[in-house]
Amino acid sequence: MKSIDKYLKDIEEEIKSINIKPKIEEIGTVFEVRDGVAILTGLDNISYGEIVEFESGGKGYVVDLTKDRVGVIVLGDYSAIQVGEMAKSTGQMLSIPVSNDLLGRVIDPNGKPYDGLAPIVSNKFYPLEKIAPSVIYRHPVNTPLQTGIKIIDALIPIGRGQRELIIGDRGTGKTTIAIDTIINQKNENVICIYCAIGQKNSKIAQVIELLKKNQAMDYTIIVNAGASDPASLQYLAPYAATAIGEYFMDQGKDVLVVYDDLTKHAWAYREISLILRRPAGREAYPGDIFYLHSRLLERACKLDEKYGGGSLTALPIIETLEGDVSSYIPTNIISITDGQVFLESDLFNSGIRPAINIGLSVSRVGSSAQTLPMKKVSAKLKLDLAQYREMASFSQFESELDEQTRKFLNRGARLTQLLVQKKNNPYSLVEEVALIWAGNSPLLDNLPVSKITEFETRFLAILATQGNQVIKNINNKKELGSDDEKKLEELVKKTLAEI
Amino acid sequence: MVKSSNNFAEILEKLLRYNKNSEKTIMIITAVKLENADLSLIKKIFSLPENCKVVNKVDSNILGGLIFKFGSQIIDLSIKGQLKNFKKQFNFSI
Repeated sequence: MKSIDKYLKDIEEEIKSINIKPKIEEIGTVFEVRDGVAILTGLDNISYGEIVEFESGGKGYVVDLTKDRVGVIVLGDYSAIQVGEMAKSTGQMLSIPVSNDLLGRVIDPNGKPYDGLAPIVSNKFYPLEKIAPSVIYRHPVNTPLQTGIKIIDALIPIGRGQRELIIGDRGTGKTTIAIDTIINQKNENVICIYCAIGQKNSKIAQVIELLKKNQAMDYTIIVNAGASDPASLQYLAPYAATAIGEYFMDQGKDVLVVYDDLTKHAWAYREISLILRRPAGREAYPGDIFYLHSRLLERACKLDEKYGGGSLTALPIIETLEGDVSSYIPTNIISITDGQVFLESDLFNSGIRPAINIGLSVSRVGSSAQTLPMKKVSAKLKLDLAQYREMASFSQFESELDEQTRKFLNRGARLTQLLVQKKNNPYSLVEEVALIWAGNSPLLDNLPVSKITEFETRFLAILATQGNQVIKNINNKKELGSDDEKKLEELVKKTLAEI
Repeated sequence: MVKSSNNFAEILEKLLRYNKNSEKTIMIITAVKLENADLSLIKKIFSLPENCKVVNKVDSNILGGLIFKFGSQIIDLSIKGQLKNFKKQFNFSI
């Protein structure tokens, strides 16, 4: 009995301490309920982007203001909303609660956790819609974001603060590149946010399992709006992920946000716009489909030291159909981002994975986001591969070619094989530099292409045990001197002797 | 509630000033029907301006107290509204 008395007393205290102040509230009545959208009357003084609360408990986001109707997208399940129900304005803009406790969690765009652990408690809210930092706040990108993928770090390097699009058909390894990049940030002091838009929940479960296995969940946040979630949540998920990223960026940290994928994001927005009866444009997309993505991706930047020096790197993913990069949404996003990584199914099927087409991929930040040793070795690699690509069509006439051409073709085939790597197996900077240096040197010219993978494994093992000085120089002093090159030559010869 | 009438009068004045030109009436929603005497008493206590039209609507769902409705804006002084507030406060503190 005593505990019940105590509870009752506590409740009485609570009630007495609650302050009741009369205040004006803006209300409206639900006039129509459509799929995920509610049309309200009333709410005469509401602003665009405000949150309204329905009598049945759900929340809505104002997106349409007409003479006597307010269009609201319902954030969550709309089946409980009835016509004639009252909706109250909260006076707040759409925001998400942010705190350092978000690391390692899986949440929905409202901030509610999916992983069954404690709810996110925070008194700090970041707005989902925000104007991107203007020119004065920015600093040119100068620090590399190591992806751990040899071909990207050497030829299409990504810097912290850059937007790099990963584009390709289904099943070409786009998500794998993004996940490998996240796994590689383990000791790099980068916060990673993986935003899943319209993905299968089974795929997300696999991703979480993979990240846990590689101890990557400690610095990763997953924002999930799955395929069965309402279009409103799929529409807001990337903005929620960016808002969380900006919270960490404002603390001076480096953030990586992966949007997987923006094609489904565009579909969700098209769905909402068509339900709101907005005029349909090309491919039935609304008129502001470009603005949808440009305002999202412009928020990725590197801040000047005066404003904290943090950065937000964006890796949007786009799925193409039949390799068509000139269709509507892909061309929009290519024009917004600072480069693309182009994946091809032909390369994927012939065993070259990651299936990156070097000719069509570009990074507009380029070598300003590369360390000195990598810059040194990748210059020759780029040239050799370009020459190989030019002569690739002649490879079918191999027996009738001159010595020079045959040499180029051999060199190119070896380099291509050297750049192949297994998934979820990121390479450190030292391993990448050493391998590319070995590939550039004439020492491997007599090694058959089939033995390249074996050479790689043995060489890296020998480097780890006998190449300590080289490792130290590349990691700490960020340089590759002539002594280091001599040591690498010695190790390569040793490895070749073993094979 | 009566003690806060001054603050209340300010709020109401703001409301009426804002919608000066439109012909709107103040709707008072109560749980039981109000007599004319009650309405004029309310007008006096809450310092409503004499020239505004007041209409009474009965809705037993609010359990008690009153709700002032003016155009699309309301001032919720009903018992149901307060209970909702309590619910929200309790959910937060748990």
